Amino acid sequence: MKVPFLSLLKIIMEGKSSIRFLIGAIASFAFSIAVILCTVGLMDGFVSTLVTSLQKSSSDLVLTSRDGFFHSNDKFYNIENNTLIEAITPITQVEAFFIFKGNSKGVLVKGVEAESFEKVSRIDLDLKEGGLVVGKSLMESLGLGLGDEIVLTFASNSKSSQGSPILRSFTITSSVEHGVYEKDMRYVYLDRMTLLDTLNYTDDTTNMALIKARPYKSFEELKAVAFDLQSKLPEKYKIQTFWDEFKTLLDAVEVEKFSITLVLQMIVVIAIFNIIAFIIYITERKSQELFLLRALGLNLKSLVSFWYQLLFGIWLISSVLSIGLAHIFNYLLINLPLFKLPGDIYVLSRLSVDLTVIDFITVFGLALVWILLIGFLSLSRMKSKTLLHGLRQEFS
Amino acid sequence: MSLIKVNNIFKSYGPTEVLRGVNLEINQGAQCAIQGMSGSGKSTLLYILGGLDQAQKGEVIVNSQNLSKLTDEELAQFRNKSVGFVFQFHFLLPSMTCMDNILLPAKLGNFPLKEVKQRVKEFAETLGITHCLKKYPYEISGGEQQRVNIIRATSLKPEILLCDEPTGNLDSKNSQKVVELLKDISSKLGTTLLVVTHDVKVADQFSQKITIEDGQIIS
Repeated sequence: MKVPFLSLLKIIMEGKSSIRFLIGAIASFAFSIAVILCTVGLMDGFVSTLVTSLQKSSSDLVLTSRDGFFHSNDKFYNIENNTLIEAITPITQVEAFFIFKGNSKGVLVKGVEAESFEKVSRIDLDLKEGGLVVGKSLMESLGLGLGDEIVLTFASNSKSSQGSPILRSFTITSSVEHGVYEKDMRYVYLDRMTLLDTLNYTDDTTNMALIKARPYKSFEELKAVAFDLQSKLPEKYKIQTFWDEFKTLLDAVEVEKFSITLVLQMIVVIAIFNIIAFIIYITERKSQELFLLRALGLNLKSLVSFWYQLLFGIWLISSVLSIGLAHIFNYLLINLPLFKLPGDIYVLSRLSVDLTVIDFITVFGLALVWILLIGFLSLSRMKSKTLLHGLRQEFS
Repeated sequence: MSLIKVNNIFKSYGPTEVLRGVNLEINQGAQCAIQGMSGSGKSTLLYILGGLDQAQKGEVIVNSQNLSKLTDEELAQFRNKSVGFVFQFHFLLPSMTCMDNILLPAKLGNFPLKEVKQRVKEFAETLGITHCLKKYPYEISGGEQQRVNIIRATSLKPEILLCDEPTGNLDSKNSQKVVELLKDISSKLGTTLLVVTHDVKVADQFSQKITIEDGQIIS
């Protein structure tokens, strides 16, 4: 006499209170899994957001010269023909003072060619004549708005006027967000030719070039490309991967990630206790029904099968729900001002939950192991009691 | 013809011997009271006869089936189809209406619900608790709960109706009524009725009585 799962479920879940209890149990379990998922996702998200942000503004590879400035029409451009490269753009960058309504701030002015810069960096700059693009955090910290006129103060390179700065006013045409606080606070973009004219430099003066490599699968592969390019260039040129500039920071992040992981373990432990409490609760809550059903003709095989199917079903629904909860948390993290991080401390202004397939498999797998393990122990405890003992105990 | 045959069964819980070599034979359709003091082993005997518990020694044969040799699945089937239990504590699930509680054995045994429901309604009318069927156990009185319990036990027309102190929580007037009801139902359905009681007045309502003392049948 095999009792189908659905028939048994209907019996066990008869009544509003049982359904409410089941919904509550699933919600609680889903929340616990979501907490663990988000914790893991935040850890991964911290590194991946930082890496993505760095890549967004620096492209894949950065070419510099040990001499400082170099000519963009130099033969290094032959590397353009290299099959490993997709695009390259020259940048002339100098330091300057940014002056607005009596406030000044040191900035890094980047003279770029908007079209080729976009191809390489994926940043679309609206560079109009006489206009400049300012990092978002800088805009906010100085209370700047679009259309505001500011003055950039450059050091003069002319021997005759050394000590006298070059002052030039520009209109802010747009703002840019790199995703890295330091860049958003310090970077100002100008049309490269305008910058060169302002500084009286020749048209091909540059001190940096950004390179976009052909699609690659791993950072190791990109490192190999950098090595390959380096070997083809004269010794004075230097090729660095996009993360080299922030290598120290990334190392620090790894250390911090480890520390945060330790701290967040508390949350994970609490979530696991929540799961255990829920399974024990469901066992205690439903054992009255289960003992009575056994007395009325439910065989042990059907009970065991039902019990595991029920737990598996709860796990499955909770897991699906937890994905939804993690997405909601991620959305809030990205969009709610409440979750904005202090960028000067955490480098990034925003965090996001970044989950890989491995993360899902690990978290869901462990949750399943927990639920089945505690379910097994509860069932063993139930089986160890005689029907009579169980009935008397549960209904006393 | 004997329906139940008990041969020299022993049962102990830890160091306490509850049944010590019990032998018994009960005919089909019999109505019998098992009386004894508290702790004499009468309830344990009843539960062993109903397949809820097992003897450590000896054999229990019900309707030619040796219960000690049945698998768990066969025992469950036996409890569902052949036996009806009326417990002292009604064992009604508070989350279900009385009707749903009554239909539990039918649902577990995949019996045609329409037919069983019809029978339940007839029983309820006979016992005067039609108004209770849609209510929850906590909404009805102790006497009504016991009658719901009796309908659940008899809803599948079992061969044996086993009652453990069915009047334990009732006053003497209601006790008499419940015993009469049980006997009446048993006669109508042709069910063998075994009632465990410590109450002499209840036992006196049965023509066949078995007295158990210190785990042994003395009369």
